This record gives sequence, C-alpha cells and structure tokens, in this order.
Amino acid sequence: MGKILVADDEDDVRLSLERRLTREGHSVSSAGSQAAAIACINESDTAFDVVLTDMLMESPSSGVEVLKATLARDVFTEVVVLTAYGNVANAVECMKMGAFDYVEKNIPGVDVYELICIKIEQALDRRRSSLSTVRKLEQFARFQEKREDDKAKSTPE
Amino acid sequence: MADEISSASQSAPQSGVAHGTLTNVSLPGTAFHPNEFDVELSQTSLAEADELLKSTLDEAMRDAGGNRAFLALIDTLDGELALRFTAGEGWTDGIRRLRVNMHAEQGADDAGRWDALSDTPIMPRPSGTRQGITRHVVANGRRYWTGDVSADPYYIGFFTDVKSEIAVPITARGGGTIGVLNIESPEANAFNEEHANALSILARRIAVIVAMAEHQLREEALIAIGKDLNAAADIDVLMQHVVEQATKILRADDCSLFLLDEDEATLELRASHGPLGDQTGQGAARYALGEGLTGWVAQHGEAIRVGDPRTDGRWKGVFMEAPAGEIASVMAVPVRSHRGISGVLRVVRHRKGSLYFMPQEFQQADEDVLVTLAGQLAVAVDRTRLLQRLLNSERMAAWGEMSARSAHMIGNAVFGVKGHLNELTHWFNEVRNAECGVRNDPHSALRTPHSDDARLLLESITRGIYRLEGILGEFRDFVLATQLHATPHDVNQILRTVTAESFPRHSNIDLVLNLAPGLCPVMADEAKLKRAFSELIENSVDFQPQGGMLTIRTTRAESETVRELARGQIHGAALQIEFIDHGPGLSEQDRQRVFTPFYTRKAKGMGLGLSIVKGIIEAHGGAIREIGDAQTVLSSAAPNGRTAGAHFVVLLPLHEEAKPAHGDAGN
Repeated sequence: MGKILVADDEDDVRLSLERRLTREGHSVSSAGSQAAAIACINESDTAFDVVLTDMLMESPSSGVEVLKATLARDVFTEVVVLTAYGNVANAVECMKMGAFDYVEKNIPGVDVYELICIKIEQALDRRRSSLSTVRKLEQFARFQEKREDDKAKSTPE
Repeated sequence: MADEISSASQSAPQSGVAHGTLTNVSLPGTAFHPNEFDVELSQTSLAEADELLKSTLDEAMRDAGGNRAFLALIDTLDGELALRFTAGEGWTDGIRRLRVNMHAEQGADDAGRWDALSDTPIMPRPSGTRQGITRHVVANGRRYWTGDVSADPYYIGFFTDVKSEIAVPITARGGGTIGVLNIESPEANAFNEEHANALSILARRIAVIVAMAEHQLREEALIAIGKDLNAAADIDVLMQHVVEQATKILRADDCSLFLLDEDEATLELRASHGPLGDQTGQGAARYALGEGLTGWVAQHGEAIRVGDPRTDGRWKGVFMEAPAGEIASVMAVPVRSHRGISGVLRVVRHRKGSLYFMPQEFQQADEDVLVTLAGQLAVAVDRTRLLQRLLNSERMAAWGEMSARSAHMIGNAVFGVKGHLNELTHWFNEVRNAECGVRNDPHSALRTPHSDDARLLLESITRGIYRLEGILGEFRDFVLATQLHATPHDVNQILRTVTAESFPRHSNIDLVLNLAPGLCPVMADEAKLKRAFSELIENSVDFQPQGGMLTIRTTRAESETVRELARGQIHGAALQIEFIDHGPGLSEQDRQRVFTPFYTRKAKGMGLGLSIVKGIIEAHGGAIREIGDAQTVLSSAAPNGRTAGAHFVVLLPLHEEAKPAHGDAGN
C-alpha cells in the first residue's frame, strides 16, 4: 500500500513497528540511527511515501534532522514523529516544520501501534491527495500552455 | 660562670626533668609542651627566650654579688616548681631535678588560693619534695631575704656553704606568682633591700620574657590550627581537633563546641574534649537558644567570662564538663559565620588544689585566643555547609535528569514490549482462525502460523522485561549508593570474591591480581564495595573486546598519592586499589566527565555505572580518580608493547586502630 521508512534506535521498537506495518500490507524499510535514516532517504530509488521516525536518537533533535532530509528529497513525503516521555516540545517544532503528526509512544490505555497504523493511513491519504492535486495542477498548467500555443498559432502575424 | 651555665644546659636533656632550656620543658604559665602539638613549631622564639632568661639570671647573680643562683618556674601541668635555670657553682643534675610541690595540705578548705597559707608555719614534708624560702615566696608573693639561713624558719638548704639567701617572686601580668628568682651567698648578711629592689626589676623582666615566649607559642599554635582548618574536609574531625587544641592552648581542662541547628532554635553539642564527648551525634546534648550561659551567648552574640558559674544568674548547669562544684571558671564565645551566629565555643577550668597561682579565671588574652579559634571554625563550618548545599543541589539536578532519562528509557522499553505483545496477540488470533478454518489475513499470513514465531516473540518480551529491571536496578543503585552499613573488611578478600564472581570465566583478557599482604581492615559495606569493584571490572572487560589485560592491585597508599588524589577527602593512612587495563583508555575530556551521571561511552545502560561507583567510594570516605598513563605507573608490571589503557585508582581510608565491628561509619 505504501512505501514506508521506520527509523528508531531501539531494536525492539524498530522490529515491532516493521513487523506490524508489513502485516498491514506496507513495504517497509528500517534504519537504526539518524545517519542511517538520512542515507536511506537519499539513496532509495523512489521517495518514501511516509517516514516514521523517533525523535531522540543520536541527538535530542534527530527527528528534526530526518524531517529536513525527507522534505529535501520529496516535499510531499509525509513524516510522522514518535516521542517517548519528555520530547513533546521537539515534536511540536517538527509540526511547525511540516511534519504530518506526532505520536507519543506511551499513552496509557491506548494501543499505540494501532494508532500509528491509523496515522500512517491518514498520512498516505494526504500524500495521495497532495500528489493528485499536483497532478491536476500540472495538467492544468499543460492545458494552459497548450491554449497559449493554440492562441499564438491562430493569431495572424 | 658562663661556661658553667652552658655546660649545665647541655647536660640537662638526659635528666628526668630537663633544665636550662625552654624548648624541652613546659613553658612556665602555659600548659603546653611544644612537642605535644601535631604541628612543627618554629623554635627560634623559644631559643631566644631561653637566651634572655639565662643572661638575666647571670646578671641577677652578678648584681647581687652571690655565688649561686637559680630561676624556678611553675609547671602548670602538675603545679610544681621546677628549677629552670641555674648559675654558679656546685649544681648537680640531682639538685636540678628537685621539684617543689606546691599543692595544699590535704583537707585545706581554701585549696586553690595561694594566699590562704601565707603566714602558716611550714611543716616538714616527705622526702623528694622541698619547701623553704622558695615555696614561701611563691605562696605569699612577697620578696624575702635572710642574712643567716641557720636561724631562718623557712630555709632548707641545697648546699652547706650558704649563709645568706634572697628570693623575689616573679609575677605574671595577671597578678599571680609564676616563679622565683633566688640568689645565695656564702657571706652572712649579704643581701639588703637595695638588692631586693634590683632583683625585682629583673624579675619583672623575666615575667615579660616568659609572657612573650608564651604569646609567641600561642600565636604559632593558632596559625598551625588555621592551616589544619583549611586542609580538613571532615567537619567532625576538624571540630574535635579544634576543641582539643583550644583546651591545650588556653590551659583549660575542657572545651566544647555547640552548633546551632538548621531551625536556629537549638544548640547541639558537636565536639568536646572531655566526658561530654560521648554526648555528640544521635541524642546529642542540646540547649535551647537562650538557655543557660551557652544559650545566652548564642542568643546575644557576646562572649562571657564567668568566675564561679554557680553564682551567675544565667547559669543552668544542664550539660557540664565536670560536676558544678569543680568548675572554677567558664568562658564562652559565639561562633560567628557570615549568616550570623552559628554556634558557641566554650572552655572551662577546674578548681585546682595548688597553692601557687594557677590560672583559673580566664583573661582578656584568653578570650582573644578563643574568639580567633571561633572565627576560624566559623569559616570552616560555613565552607562545609556551602559544600554540602552544592553537593545536594548537584544531586538534585542529577535526580531531575535521572527522572527524565529513566522515564524516556522505560517508556521506550515498554513500548517495545507492547509491540511484541501485540504481535503475540495477533499470532494467537491467527492460530485460532486456522483452527476454525477461517482464512487468515491475506497480507501477513501467507503461511500457517508457526510456534517458532511465538517463541521468538516471548524471548523478545522476556528480554525487554529484563532490560526494564536493569534500568530500575541502576536507578536503585544510584539512589542507594550513599547509604552504607559498614563493618571492618579485608579488601583483598572482597577483591578475590568479586573477581571470582564477576570476571568472565572464558575470557581472552589476562587477569593479574597483585594484592599486598597484611593490610589493615577497611570500614566497608561489602555488598556496595563489591558492586563498585565489579562495575570497574566489567567496564574494563567491555573496553577490551579483542582481549588484553586487567591488573588489580592493592597497596598502602603513599601519603603523597593521598595528598595528590584525595586532597581534603582523606586524612591519614589510605588503602590504594588500582584497576589498570590495556583498552583504549580515556581522553582528557572523558577523564573529566567519566564519573558524571548519564555520561556513557557504551551503547547500553543509562550511563550511571561509574557515577554509582564514585558515589559508593565517596560514601566510604574514599576517593576515585582515573589517572591514565598505565604504562608509566605500571612500568614493571606491564609487558612491552601493550598500549596504555584506563587506570582507575581507588583510595579508601584505613582504620589502623582496631575499630568495633558494629561501627557505622558513613551513615
């Protein structure tokens, strides 16, 4: 359904997310650090649809760096940021910079994996709608171009 | 004549009571022998005083025209008159050794008042003690001469050729008699009032010289204490030291220090020289602010000197250094720190049975000394409290960071475990669906669920739970590192046990134990110390994955090492334990930060390991440093070609006097 990158330095977390999202039918890649995630984003053949990244890896603002790299590669790739306790401020910063949403890992009584799956579906929807809007704009632009051309041809010298 | 004196003073040291030099005997009018101090006092001022006293005695004999003279001064330690200097012929060590007992007759009511017996007939005394003109002059403080000793009621002779004798008292500035200047002559009626007047002037000079020497000694002792105060880190040791020294310097019989509590309403006994010393610590002696003389001083911030404390209206006698009737005088001064009064330092003198002037009432000069001591003490107390606050705030900051970090780590670990549990739930659903013949989710289960999947998930969950426990354990160790239950332990034995338990059985790291035999026991919490040592061992093993060497050795620390690595932390002997490896070692930057909480070079854990080690060692009153350069220090032990790795040095204070097994040092 979607091409997704999971970036988290906790082996257990990365493994669980990878498994779950695969089960949901996505094509999942994973990275265990900020550097690995950025390399993955830059080197993949096609851009990821969604990047799911932990906020705190090598540095407390790893999520921000991954977000920047993602948007530099494809401005329509959606980024979902994961935070453990105490990183909400950074997550809000990511939202301002264009992340799709942030999810706290520990919400009492909530199946956060389910929540993540929902967020990713929503992110994919937005990317699809963004892409379709872009496509429409491109079509419109082409259409306009063609009209200009036609007008130019039909106008006598 | 001069030859005679100098040879007398040279032969003196081997005699029981040394004569002819102030440096070997207690100063008249002071209770301290220079060699009783832990510190080295410069001897120049004393030698100078000796010189002056000798020449004054020579001058006195010459002026009076006698053939023999002596200067006797009172030894405040035992209240006896001792011959300090002699001049003239015929003196033997035997005579010089004679002491004049100045104590009152048993049963004398007015014991302690030198003038009580002023004109009482002197009775013959047992052999070994002397009385006579000298004793008479000291006892009534008036000069005395006789032209015919054979007819004199007081005279008892040292020599047979004596006809005339003259003796003048040496009077201290405070008014008491501290000694006698005595001249003898073989001529009858050799002395008159004129001689007495001349000798009185010389006696005054002697009193000034003695006072000067005493003053210099006090000053040097105070400076020495000041240095101690700056060096000592343990406030309790330091306070005890001050009360001991104050007792000596002030010729007091006891000294106690009370400090104001945090609530500033009660004074708690923190150190005492004598029997009150037992009442420090838990359930310590306490005064309410304003209660008794001590409480009054703390409340009003003024020093007091009280002659007979029982007659003072403020006196309560709640905690006394001796039964109230035995206390002759009390002096107390406030300990003034920059925040205000922080305590009271007080000294007492007991009633003395001696007839001569024994210092009982404290003088202004004594008060000045005590105020100086209290001032130095206040600086030390302030500094310690500041340090304590700093340590506390550091610890609070560490706690704050600790909470945030552990929340994050625990949160992540729980999230991981939840993921595995979700997967396990999904696995069960699939198994049930398969059993019911329902077609499984086409995306995930293209094959039938296998029990291996479940086993792997369970293993992951178990691992996650263990990790959580590890985080909690680290948290707990950090919190508990400073709470010890210490008993005497052989550190070598602890090291042997720890290496047997913690050092990996199959390892490509060579373990070298180099334990010095015959080391004194250390007051230690065995479990905590094991935790610290095993952390250091694990640390070393983790950083030598390709193999290497770990040397653990114990020695008695050189005092220079203690000074250099544990300045202000350890006083006295220390045990040195070293962990030397050949791993990558530490950079200068790492060396600074390696013991701070949450600083880690390893991927796993919270980075508390070495900060816990430091906490444990410091709770033992010890110190830990990373000094690097294992190569140079271990030059004999390190095989050639090994690289310099980490070199941790642990210093633990040695308890050389056998301590009771139930000690609880460090609490």
